[in-house]
Amino acid sequence: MHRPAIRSRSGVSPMVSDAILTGIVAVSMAILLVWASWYAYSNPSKMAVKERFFIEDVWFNSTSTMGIYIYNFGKVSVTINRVYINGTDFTDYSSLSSSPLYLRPGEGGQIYIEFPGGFKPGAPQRVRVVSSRGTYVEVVAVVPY
Amino acid sequence: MIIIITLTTGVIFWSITTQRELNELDLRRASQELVIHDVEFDEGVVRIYVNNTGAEAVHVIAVWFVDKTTTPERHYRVSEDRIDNSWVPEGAYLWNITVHWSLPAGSNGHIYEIKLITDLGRAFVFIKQAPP
Repeated sequence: MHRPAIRSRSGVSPMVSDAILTGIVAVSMAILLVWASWYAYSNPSKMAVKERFFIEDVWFNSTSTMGIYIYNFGKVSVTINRVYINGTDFTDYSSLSSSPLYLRPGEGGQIYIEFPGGFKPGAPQRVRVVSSRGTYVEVVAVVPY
Repeated sequence: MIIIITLTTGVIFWSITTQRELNELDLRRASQELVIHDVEFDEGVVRIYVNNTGAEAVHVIAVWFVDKTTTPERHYRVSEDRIDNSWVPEGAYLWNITVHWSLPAGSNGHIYEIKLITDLGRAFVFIKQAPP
């Protein structure tokens, strides 16, 4: 009958192991606490509800060129990155395709749309501009004859 | 438990603060009310006479002039740096907002839409024929 060999190495004392475990838990809690606070106060997605902007004016230089002027009257910066006309995405035909429109609070800026097919004269156009956070503003403009 | 309490408290506090700020902003915006009484086109300036019938002072940050006679319409935006008396006090009557802007050549007698833009994103419109 074989008896297991007695090991000469001694284990970690219960006090030391308790201290290590307590340290790990405390550090983990601190990290989670910092993350939770950051999430509650500064998560970028929460800024969407603070966005406020509106369309000052829409104009047509011809039946194929449209201009839109946007003003940010909210307390957070806004990036306009998409534009829809009558529900169709016209971003690729607009100046937004090369550079999104970034507006600080109190700033205004314009978007140009060059539509090769042309807009139908006299037809109302439902213009919707959308921010990177998903907020949108919509107006109706009529193409002149 | 500490994390849940912190997270919940943070979210509730943030929601209350944000809701209060936005309600205040939206209420102020809704309470802005300018009545454009008349518009005078003069040499190099346009005088816009307004009554502020709202609950507080209104700050005009831009004026649009839209020539409705031409085809296509011509739109001109004049920003605040060329507007005098852009703050319209509460209760102001026939307040004179002076815009340093000249009628384009050949547009005498044209019908103009004059649009005042406020700092809280409101627009007030008036139609006036330019002098012949």
